[in-house]
Amino acid sequence: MLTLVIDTSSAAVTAGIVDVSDSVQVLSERVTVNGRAHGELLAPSIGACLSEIQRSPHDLQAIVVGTGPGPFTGLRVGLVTAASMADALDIPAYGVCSLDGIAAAVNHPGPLFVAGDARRKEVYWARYLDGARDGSPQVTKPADVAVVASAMAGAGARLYRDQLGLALLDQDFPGVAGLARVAADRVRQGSSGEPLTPLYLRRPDATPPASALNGGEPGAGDIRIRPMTPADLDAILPFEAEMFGSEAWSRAAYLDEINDVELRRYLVAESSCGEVLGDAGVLIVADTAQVVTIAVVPTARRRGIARRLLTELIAIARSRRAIEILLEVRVDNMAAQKLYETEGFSTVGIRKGYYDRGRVDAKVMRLDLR
Amino acid sequence: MISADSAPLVLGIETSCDETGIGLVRGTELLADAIASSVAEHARFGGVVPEVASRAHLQAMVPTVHRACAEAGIALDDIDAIAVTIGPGLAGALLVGTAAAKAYSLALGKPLYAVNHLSAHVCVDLLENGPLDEPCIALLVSGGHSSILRVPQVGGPVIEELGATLDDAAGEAFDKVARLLGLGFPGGPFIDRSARKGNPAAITFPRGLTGPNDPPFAFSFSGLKSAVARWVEQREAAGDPVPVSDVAASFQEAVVDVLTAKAVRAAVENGIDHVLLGGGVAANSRLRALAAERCERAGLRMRVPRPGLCTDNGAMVAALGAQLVMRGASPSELDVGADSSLSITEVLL
Repeated sequence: MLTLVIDTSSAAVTAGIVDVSDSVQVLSERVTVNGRAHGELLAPSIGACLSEIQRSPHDLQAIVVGTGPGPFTGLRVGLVTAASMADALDIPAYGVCSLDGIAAAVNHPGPLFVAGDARRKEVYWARYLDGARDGSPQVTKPADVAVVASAMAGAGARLYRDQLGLALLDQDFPGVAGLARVAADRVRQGSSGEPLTPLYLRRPDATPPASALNGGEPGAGDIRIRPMTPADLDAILPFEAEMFGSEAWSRAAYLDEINDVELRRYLVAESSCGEVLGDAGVLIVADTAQVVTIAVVPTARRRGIARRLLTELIAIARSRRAIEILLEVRVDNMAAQKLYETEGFSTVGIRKGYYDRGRVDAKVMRLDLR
Repeated sequence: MISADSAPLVLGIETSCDETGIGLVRGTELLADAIASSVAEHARFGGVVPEVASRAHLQAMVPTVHRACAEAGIALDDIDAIAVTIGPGLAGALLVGTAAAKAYSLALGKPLYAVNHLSAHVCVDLLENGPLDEPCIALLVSGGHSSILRVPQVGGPVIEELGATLDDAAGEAFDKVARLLGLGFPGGPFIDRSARKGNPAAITFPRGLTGPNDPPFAFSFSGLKSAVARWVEQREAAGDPVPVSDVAASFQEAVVDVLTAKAVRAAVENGIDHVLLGGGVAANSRLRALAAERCERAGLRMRVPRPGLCTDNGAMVAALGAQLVMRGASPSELDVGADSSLSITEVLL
């Protein structure tokens, strides 16, 4: 069975033609060590291997490809090449774990440790007992490898030989013969081809942004609510100015508010690293409390901070023996209204032209505290 | 070999971003346009994640080729040539399509044409609107590019760039503003839809590089994007609701106003009587409408493919490949490398 063998799981761009019969015989092989040119080198290497034995692609009967683990970008070149050629030629393609190819090539009788270079100071590795892989391939730092073996092989083993400390066998990459041997039974039996699934072992380096703008919603669990002090004004005034423009309170106005402890209470929401993310205030006259302000910096919204501030204001109002708490909200601010409704507020009236110089009405909402 | 009397059947492969596009074209006749998109996987990130896109291309490649062949009712052996996007685009993503194209070329024994993604966006118009008068002025606007081109010959060797964006591409600005407004990804279609309910004159956002001393055909969208962000933040900070549709419509108007004004001016100044629109942003309904209106007023003809052919697809790559085959261009070598920053002036590598 004339078989094309490909591996791009390492810096060695590998292609070869093998005759798989009772034995496995390598007819031609091209290995170029260049970790940055898989895309350029692989197809010409395959072409050269075929030319060397004067065969055409149509003579191929099977394809064997190393599925990694290995650096993703190069790995995909081998896999998509194998899948596309198998499709075009209507022949089966078989995937082989590239570390298995190294183990098959060295044919070591005792327990064997095989490691590839995973970059980022890590190795892709697996252990082999009597030639068979003991568990799934792993990716870890060399220092975190804890296996018993009598020898080691692979480019990762060579790179960290001092740290790993085992006898190093001279087989850095999965050669054509090793890979073909692992798949030889499937090739001989003419098994149907398989979906070629790369062994990435790592997830893509991307995490959804934490910002609420993109749907991520970290909780407000790491947020602390505490009374506002004059020292907080250095943090509050810039964002107050940014959010409220010409209507922002001055430092003096804020100080008056904070210092009026008889009637008013002001709070801040603070992140675990001490950053002020929002503030709120309540005015209590006789048995009626009025929410004066609730503001959260734009980057910290939708994390439940406004709700935490509101709940605290309600608790303060109760402790001051208020029987009701009132607030105004823009008629078109549905998000805020929803928050207040879920906290038990109901609409009791409309103030005409309360916002935007008379253009937008306010809803007056009330929560009964009795 | 391609017989002289029949148009070449070309397989086109496009993987420069998040769409795995496979097209089949015979001459200028569109036979199949199959697309597998990983856009849903990117939506949660608010932008295309290169590694996610590359993984998806690998998975989608062979099944999408099969779909295209079935749609066209052809067998792979019938193909005369393979064309592939070699750049510009995401390096890892380009590499998957390029390796696949080489594998099909090698296995089928058919020539490979490694072509420029941007030229393909211009060329796709031939599939719908027939032969193009040359030279033409093309306004090419997408998530990665915003340029005004003078095209002496479609599929010919040199495309001249009269101007391009100095910062963000138009499509990128759409994505960022959509994210800011809590609309979906990709931003273009969501802004387009939201803007239909809004007032484009509600807010006057800045028109970048439209001063008398600015380069006449260059664009800048970064200042516009910041202006929108500032405007929205101020509203939110004041506790006021953001009129999403009005912001979307006003932002969109600022973008398409500049794009169309400059494209029309380029045609007039170059003495060319028609303008061609291409690229994903050319699917925007307001851009199409305003471009049509302004071209008519200036006595120009406007050409634009249907929206499905404006966004990235394999048919455009096949269309350019077919032009190159028919013009007798030399095929690419198998060792050609993907070029993520390929210049617009390189049509074929």
